[in-house]
Amino acid sequence: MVGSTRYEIAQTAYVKLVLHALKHKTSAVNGVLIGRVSGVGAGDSAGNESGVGNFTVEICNSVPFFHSHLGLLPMLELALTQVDEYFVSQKGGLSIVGYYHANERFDDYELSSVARKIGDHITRSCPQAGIFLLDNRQLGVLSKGATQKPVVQLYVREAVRGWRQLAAGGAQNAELVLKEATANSILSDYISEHREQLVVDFDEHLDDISKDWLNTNLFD
Amino acid sequence: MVGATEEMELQKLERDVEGGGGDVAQYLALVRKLRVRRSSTVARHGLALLNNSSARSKLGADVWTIYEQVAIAALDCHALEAAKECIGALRTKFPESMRVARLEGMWWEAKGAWQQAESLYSDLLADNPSDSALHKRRIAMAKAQGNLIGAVEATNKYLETFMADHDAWRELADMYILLQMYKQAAFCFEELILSQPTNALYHLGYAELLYTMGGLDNLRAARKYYAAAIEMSGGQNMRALFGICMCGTAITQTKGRGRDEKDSVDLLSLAGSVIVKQYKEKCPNKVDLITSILDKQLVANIA
Repeated sequence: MVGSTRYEIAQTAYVKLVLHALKHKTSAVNGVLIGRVSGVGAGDSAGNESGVGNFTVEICNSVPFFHSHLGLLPMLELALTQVDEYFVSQKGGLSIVGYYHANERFDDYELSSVARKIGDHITRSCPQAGIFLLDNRQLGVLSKGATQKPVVQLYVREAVRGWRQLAAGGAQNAELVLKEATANSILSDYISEHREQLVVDFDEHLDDISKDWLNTNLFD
Repeated sequence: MVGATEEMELQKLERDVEGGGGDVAQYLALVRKLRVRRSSTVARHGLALLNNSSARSKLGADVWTIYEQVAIAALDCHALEAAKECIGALRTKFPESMRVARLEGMWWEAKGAWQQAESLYSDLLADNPSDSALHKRRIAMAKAQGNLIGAVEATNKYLETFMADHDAWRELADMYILLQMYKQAAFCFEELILSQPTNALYHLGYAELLYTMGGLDNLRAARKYYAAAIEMSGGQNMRALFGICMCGTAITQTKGRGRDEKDSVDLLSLAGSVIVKQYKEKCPNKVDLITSILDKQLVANIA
């Protein structure tokens, strides 16, 4: 029996991650997605979670992590700890529910091993976590007109075949939607205003701790 | 790597220039000196400067350096026509120049015409075999095409001749890390630390690599290099301070014989207190978060 998962990404999370990638055009960037998972798992009669079922993953925020040395562990673990601890302390039921990644080269559409490894790690605490890979082709045509398609590709983790892209011929039992219809037009506006310069990631926080990776003022 | 004061000066000049005032030539000179990548701003304002004949005439001999700088920035922004104009001006002034020919190679690279670029560089290298920049263009091309293995091979070959090129060793380390060839990356860091033993960033980089490799011995070594980085940076480097804490936790979690060393807790709590002090000063809204995490790490260590 195969369940299905609906990934719904709020514009706050979505715009932030794209701007993060645009701020650091010449390097790979990554970060995590914050939200909550709801739904029913197809557990067995003993009440055990099998990870299969009908779920909704609501992504309401994102935290930009790094734009250099993505493959190194210590600061990644630190960032995951701090973010996890922060959202737990906020008591809003929010936690890390996904990971995003943008490749260094514009024509690289592969999901790198770094991304897969980090995705694997996140699925240990959130089995429905998805990986969102920035799609440069889609981003390139964004300015050409209003489109409802998100400029990211979703990868979901299947039990046997590992990370698979949500696409024809790929993973079937998931869908990705933009929560607000205005997401892409807001994104376009922000890009033309060069708002990406305001995005602060964990890397920048480590270089100057007065900079806040929560980016609370980004959408003012 | 750019120091804090220089970064502030750069940002101020950049703001002035973007605002419409400011001394573009001064900004361009600082960008050249610091070797930072600000292609969008450099291209836009550099071109405006060069197309303004009265401003251009005031530049004197610097104008040719600026043409080169703006050409490269334009290529970085994929403004191929603009780059071609700058290269053309340089070609007219220096018809036999290998340096201009190299720019033409970069133009082909930006276009994605790898064959043309490669044959141009081969010809130039035949006449100028000791030009390091030409060798590096080849490495850059391999990287741009996603051929990381090729880039690594080319860099290794390059370093056989130009073994004092620290930037190349650093770049090679990064490439090895991307390929998850950690031992080879470690070798690069060892070379760097041997040649520049007081560079905190190399110690920091090595520590991060060792931590990533994992295992008790590597974690202990990582802690030593983090400690060295802290000492060399006067306790200012947040990554190194946090690194000590991460090592402490990782060492505790790694089962192994003789894993307890009495001074490790001291080092951990010292690093922790420095971190908390910094956060109180510069990031007060996260002090509780940090304190909570550090306390948990300390407890886990003592237990």
